[in-house]
Amino acid sequence: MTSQSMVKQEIEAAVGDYYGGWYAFNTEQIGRAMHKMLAKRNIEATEADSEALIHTTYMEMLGYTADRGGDTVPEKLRDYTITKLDYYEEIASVTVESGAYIEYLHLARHRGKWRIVNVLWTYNRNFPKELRHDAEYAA
Amino acid sequence: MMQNTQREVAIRAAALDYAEGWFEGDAERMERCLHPELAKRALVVDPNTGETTFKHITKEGMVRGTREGGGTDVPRDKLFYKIDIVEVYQEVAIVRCDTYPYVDFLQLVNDEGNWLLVNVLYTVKRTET
Repeated sequence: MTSQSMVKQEIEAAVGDYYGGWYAFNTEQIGRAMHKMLAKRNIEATEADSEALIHTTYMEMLGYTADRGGDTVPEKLRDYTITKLDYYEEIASVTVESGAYIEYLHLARHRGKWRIVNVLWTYNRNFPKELRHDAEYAA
Repeated sequence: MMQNTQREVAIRAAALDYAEGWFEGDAERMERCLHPELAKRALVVDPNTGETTFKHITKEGMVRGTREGGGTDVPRDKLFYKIDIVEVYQEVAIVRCDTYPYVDFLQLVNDEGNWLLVNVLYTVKRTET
């Protein structure tokens, strides 16, 4: 296996832990995929014609995972595909598409382990609006 | 099609405000392209000790650093800017920015018509290019 293939496999494994942990409500698994200084952001509708940048931390992600946050997504929409993967030395940029989310990840490698440092995510435009977190205000 | 082209022009302009703003020491350009809640990060390895430090820079830090000179010490003949718009989806844009000393992965949001950098992960190149 080429070193390039190995790097891609390692990055894909981190993404697998992130999604796998989320939908298995497994905090240990999702925890090892994320950097403790995670900055996870999304734009959320807050009220009619208003939006805010929502920030989710590493600890909050562990909490949401333990609280079965992934239960809000029907099983048939949980499969994901890595559609773009780019890396340079110790940093990577990845696009992950699933039935519920489009997530843009930044990962960094430290001591051989890739972890998610930044996330910018949005709902898949085809995801039912009534299932969204901001369903009350989403256009 | 025209709308997409205009959108890409605007995204590229924001990325260039960031990159060129830094190397030109232009704080005004830096100010206008950054989201107020910018999270710019890097894992920086000390070459002497091998210790890794997590570096987090805010918008305020970037504007101040730019005003204090930014990357103006980089020889002008070495400067280049390679901006790749990787993807645009609704109000999100993903960009890769290659310059002489750095590779920056950028995540931008469209905030009331303005494309702003909200997340950045960068690295200092180990080898000169």
